[in-house]
Amino acid sequence: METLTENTPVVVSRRSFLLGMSATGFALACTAIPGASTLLAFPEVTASFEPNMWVKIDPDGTVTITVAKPDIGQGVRTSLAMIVADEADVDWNKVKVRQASPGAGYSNMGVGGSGSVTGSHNTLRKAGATVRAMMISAAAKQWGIAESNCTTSNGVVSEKNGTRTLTYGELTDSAAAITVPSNPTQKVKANFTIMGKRISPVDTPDIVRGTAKYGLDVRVPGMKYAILALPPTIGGGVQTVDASEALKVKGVIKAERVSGIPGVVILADNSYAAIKGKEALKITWNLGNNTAIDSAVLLERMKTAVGTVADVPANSAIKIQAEYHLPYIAHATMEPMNCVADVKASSAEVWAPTQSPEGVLSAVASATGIASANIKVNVTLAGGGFGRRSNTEYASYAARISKQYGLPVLFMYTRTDDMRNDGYRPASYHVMKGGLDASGNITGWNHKYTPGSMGSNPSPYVITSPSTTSANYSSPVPTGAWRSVGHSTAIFANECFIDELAVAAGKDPYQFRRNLLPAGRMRDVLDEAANRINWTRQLPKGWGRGIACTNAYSSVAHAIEVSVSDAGVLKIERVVCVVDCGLVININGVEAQMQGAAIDAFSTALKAGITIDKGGIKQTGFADFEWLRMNDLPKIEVYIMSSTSSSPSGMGEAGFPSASPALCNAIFNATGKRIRTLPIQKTFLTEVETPALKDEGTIAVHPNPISEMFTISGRFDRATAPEMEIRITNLLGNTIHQATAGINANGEFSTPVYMPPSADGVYMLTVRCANATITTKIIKQ
Amino acid sequence: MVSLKINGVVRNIDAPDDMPLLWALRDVLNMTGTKYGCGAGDCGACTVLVNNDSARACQTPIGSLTDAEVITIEGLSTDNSHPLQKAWIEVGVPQCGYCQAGQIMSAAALLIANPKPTDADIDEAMRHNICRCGTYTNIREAIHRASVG
Repeated sequence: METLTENTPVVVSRRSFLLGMSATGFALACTAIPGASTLLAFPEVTASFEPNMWVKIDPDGTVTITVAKPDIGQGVRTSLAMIVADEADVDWNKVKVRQASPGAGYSNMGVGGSGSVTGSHNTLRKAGATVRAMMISAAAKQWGIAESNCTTSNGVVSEKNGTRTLTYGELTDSAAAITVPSNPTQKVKANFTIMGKRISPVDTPDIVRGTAKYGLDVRVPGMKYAILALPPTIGGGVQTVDASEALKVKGVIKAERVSGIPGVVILADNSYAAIKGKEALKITWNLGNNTAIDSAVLLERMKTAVGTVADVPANSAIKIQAEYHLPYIAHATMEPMNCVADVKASSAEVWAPTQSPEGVLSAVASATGIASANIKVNVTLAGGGFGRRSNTEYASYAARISKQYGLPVLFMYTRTDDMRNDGYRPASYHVMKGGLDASGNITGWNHKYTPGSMGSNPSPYVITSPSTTSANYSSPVPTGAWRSVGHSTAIFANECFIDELAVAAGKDPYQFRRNLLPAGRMRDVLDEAANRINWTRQLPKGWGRGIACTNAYSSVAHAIEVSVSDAGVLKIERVVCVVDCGLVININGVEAQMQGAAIDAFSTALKAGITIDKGGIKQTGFADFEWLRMNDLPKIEVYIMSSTSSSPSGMGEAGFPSASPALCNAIFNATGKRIRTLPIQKTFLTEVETPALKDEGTIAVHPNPISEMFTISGRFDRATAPEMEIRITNLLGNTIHQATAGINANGEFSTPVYMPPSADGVYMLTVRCANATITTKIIKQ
Repeated sequence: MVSLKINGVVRNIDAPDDMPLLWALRDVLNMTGTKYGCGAGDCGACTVLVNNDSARACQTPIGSLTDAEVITIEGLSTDNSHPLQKAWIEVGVPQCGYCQAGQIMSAAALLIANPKPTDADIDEAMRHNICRCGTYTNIREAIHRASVG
C-alpha cells in the first residue's frame, strides 16, 4: 500500500477521460500539479484507464483511488478507498490513495456530522462497479464471448469454464474504448472481498517511519514560521505593543500587528525563535467587555434561562428532579491548528490540515482577494479534528501573513493558543423532572436545558408525552462543533435521569430501559451490551455497573464496570461498547471510532473541562486539560452487531453520547452517589456532596450501598431538641424501620442504624429533629 | 554551531545551545517525524531516544546532547522492518496518527529495557504519551506483538 500526496505527479493519459470535470477545472488540475506538464509532454507515457474521477488503473496494475474527504483520524482515506476497490474487484495491495483538492469537479468535501461514509457510499460503490463492468466488457470483446461468461477477482478478468485471463492492467487500453455504463451492476454483500474486513489504515506505513505529512510538516523553499501573541480575554485586543526586545531575539524577523489578525504576529526563521520572540514582546492589552465573566456567572445565567420547569402529573406516586451541569470543552487536537500559505501576486497555494477544504479555499480567497480559481488547496493529513477543523481561521491567518510579507509561511497556534482560542463544545445546564406511578411506570418526563445548540435530543424510549425544551442565554464564549455536538450533553442528562427513574421505581436499570424500547435494532444493541457485561453477575465489594444507550448516528449501548476504593479512588474496570452501524466498511475503523469516542467521553467526564476566569480561558494545555492515558483505562471492548442493512450509518460520533452516562451510572451503582456535574475530577468522591433531598443540615451514610448495619453522621443547621427520629421508607412511602438517636449541643449526630431484612434497592432515610428534616437516599445491596 | 549524533550521523546545527531538540529536528534539519504536541513535556508526541532511553525532545536543549546518541522515528528503520513498526502496521494502530511516532519511541525505550513487558509494565512506560484519538487498546496489543516477535 502506498499513498500519494497531492504533490505526487499524476499522469493524465490522452486516452483517459474524466467525467463531471469542467474544461477549466481540468486545466487547473494539470497546471497546478508540479511536474505534470513535463510528463504530459512525453507522448505515449502510459495508457491509464480512468473512467471517472475516483479511480485510475495503470498498465502495471496500480490502482489509484481518489479520496475527496479529509482524513482527520476517522479513517476515510482507508474506508472510502475500500468501497471503490471492492466494487472494482481489484487487489487491495495495488491500491494507492490520492487526496483530492477542491475544484476539479470535487464537491462537498467537508467532513462532519459522521457523514463521510454514509454520504459517499453510493457514489463510490458505483464508481468502483463501473471499473469492473468495463473490464469485463473489454475482456469479453477481446475473447469474443458473452460478458456473462466472464468473472473477476483481484484485478483479473477470467473466462468462466475456461483458462483465459487478462489483468486489468492489460485491459486499460481496450477498456478505455468501452462506453461508460450508466448503471453498472454492483456486488451483493456475499461477494465483498474488502468491505467488512479488518484493514490497517492506508497511511500506517508512512506514520510509523515518520514520513507521513501533516500540516505542520509541510516545508516550502524559503518558508518562514509565524505564531501569534493573542489577547488573554475573549473579545480583548492589543492596546500598545513594544517589539524592541522581541526583535533582538536571533531569528525573529517581524513582530507587529497584521490587518485582519487578532493580537500580534511574530515571524521568524524557526518556531523556537518565534516562541522566544513572543515571550520578549511587551503588550498592553485592552481586556474588553467580558472581564466580569466567569464559569459561575455563566452557570447562573443558564439557571435563570431555564427557570421553572413544568411539573409532572400531580397524581404521580413518585416525583423526582435532577439538575445536570456540563462544562465547555476544548477540542485539543494533538496537532494544533496550523496552515502553510504561499501567496503570490495573483495566485496562492495553501497546505491545510482541515475538515473543510472548500471553507479553506473561500477563507484564503477572502483574505487575499485572489480568485478561488487561482488558489490551490492541498489537503494534508490532520492530527485530529473532532469538529475543530471545520473552522478555517488558521488558513485566513496564514494567507494574510504570507501576503503581507511576500513569502511562504507556516502559521501555527502554540498549544496554549490552541486551547484558548477554540470554538468550544457549549456548556449546558439541564433540569429534569420525572414521575412514576405506583407500578413504576413513567408518568411524566420534562427536560429543559440550555443551550439549544446543534444536535437534537433523540431519546429512543417510548414515553408518553415527554417534553424537551431548550432555553437560550447570553455567553461570549465562542462555540463550535465538537464530536457528537448537542448529543454529548443532552443524552448525558437523558441517560443519567432514566437511570435515576429506574432506581426510584425500584427497577433494574437495564430492564427498565428495555421495557421502554420497541423491538428492533436499539433494543438488540442494549441486550447485547447487558449480555456482554454479564449484567446479573455478582460484583466484588466496591464495584458498580452502569448501562446507557442511544440512537444518535448509529445504535449504540455502553455497559461499564467500575470500582471505587475506600479512599475514593475510581478505576474503570471494564468497558463494553456495542454498535449497530448497518453495513460495516472497515472493522478496524468501527472499532477505532468506538474506542476513541468512549475515551473522549470518559476524559471529559472525569478530568477535562474548560473554565472561564476573568473573561478568559483558564486552561493552558494537557497539564490542566487532562486527557486519559493508557494506565487510566482497561481494554475498550467493541462488539459490532451483524446487520442485514445494505447501507452504513455514521460512526465518527456515535460512540460518545452513551459512554459518559454509563460511566456515571456505574459510579452511582458502586457508591450511591449521583454524578450530576462534570468533570468529576480525580478526588471526585470527596467533592461530590451527599445528595440531601431536603437539606436542613448535612448527612453522610457509611458505607453506602449498605447491607445490614451502617452509620449515619451529620449536623442539623438548627437543632431545637437533643434527640432525633430516624426513619427508613421504601420508594412507595412505607416505613420499614424507625428509631431514635441523640444530638449534641452543636446539632451534630453520629449513630449506627440497623437495616431490617428487605429487598435490594433504593430507600429513603429521613432524620427529623423537631421541625428540621434531612433526607437522603440509601442503597441496599 | 552544535554537533549532534542523530540516527548514527553527526549533524552540525547552526542554532543556539538552548534550542530544544524538537525544533532543531523539525525546523533546522527538516526531520519532521518528531511531532510538536505541547512544547511542555505533557503529551509525549515528541518522544525520541537519547542514549536508548526515552526523552521529550521539546524539553531537551541541543546543548545538552553533545555526547549523546539520539534516535528519532526516522532512525528506527526506513523500511518498516523494526518489530514495532511491523506490529503497528499489522494491528492497524493509528487513527489520526499524529502521536504515534512518540508512542513508538516510548515503546522502543520500553522494549530495550524490558523485552517482555506485562500489561502493567506497558501502562507504566506509556502513561507519558497522550493519544487524543484513543488508540491505547491497539497500542498495548502492538507492543505485546512486537515483544514476542
